[in-house]
Amino acid sequence: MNKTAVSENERWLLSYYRASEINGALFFGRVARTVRGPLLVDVTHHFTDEANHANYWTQCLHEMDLTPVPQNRAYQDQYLEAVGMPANVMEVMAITQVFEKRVIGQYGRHQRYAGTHPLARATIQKIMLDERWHVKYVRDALADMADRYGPELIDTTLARFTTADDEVYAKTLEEYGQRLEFLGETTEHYHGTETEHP
Amino acid sequence: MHATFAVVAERISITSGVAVDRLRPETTLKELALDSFLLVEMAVDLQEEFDAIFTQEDLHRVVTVGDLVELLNTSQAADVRARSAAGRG
Repeated sequence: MNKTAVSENERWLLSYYRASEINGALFFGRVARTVRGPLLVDVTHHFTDEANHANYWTQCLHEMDLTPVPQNRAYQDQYLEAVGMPANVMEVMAITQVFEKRVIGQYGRHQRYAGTHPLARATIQKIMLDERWHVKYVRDALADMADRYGPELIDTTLARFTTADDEVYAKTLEEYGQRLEFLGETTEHYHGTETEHP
Repeated sequence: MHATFAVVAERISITSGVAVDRLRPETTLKELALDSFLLVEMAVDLQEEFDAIFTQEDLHRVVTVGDLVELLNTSQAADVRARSAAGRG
């Protein structure tokens, strides 16, 4: 057990991360079952990363002598409601690209917050190594898909998902703003001075 | 690659676990009670198998397995690229 104090809001946020990673694993597990070609290896790796991250957060909470706060919905649920389910592999990769950048931005903010619990910080550092690889392999995969889908369609799709992501993130801040205030995360901050757009 | 009902039904059965003899061209996707993730899985599998490209609009129009077979035959990747390049896709 680690005796360093954890605020209720940080406990909630770590639980939210855990739920999102579980959802990511479930989603990529499905994709890994059907995708063909070179992507099969990377997508299967991605699936295991998401499951590992859920495990890291569970372990982190356990070492803090805490249990996860039950979560009804993960970020991905709101996301897919906003943009619709991806219709093809390119859309899966485009959604992933936008989402992973958002994740890196969020974990980065949490990491920089001075009051972050040491165990949470160590967990984020471990996860960030994988997240950077996710962004890289997805970017490469989208570049490789230009011949099949056409670069215009890929650009249009990325732009559509980025707009949706902005809306979902703003809505998330409105819904859970109080939970995130300890990171200095507010709707005003997002709309006003946000410069680190993922 | 031309998609026939028999081959598509076989693929759907493998992905969804629904027995192939339960599938008819008029069977609706709703009857198969697939969750959203499973629908994505099935759509990706069929596109990979038949070198097709679906859009969200395409999928919204699909009601039955027969519709899906027809979509696979009208959404071949080469045709979609050509339409997209011509600004009509």
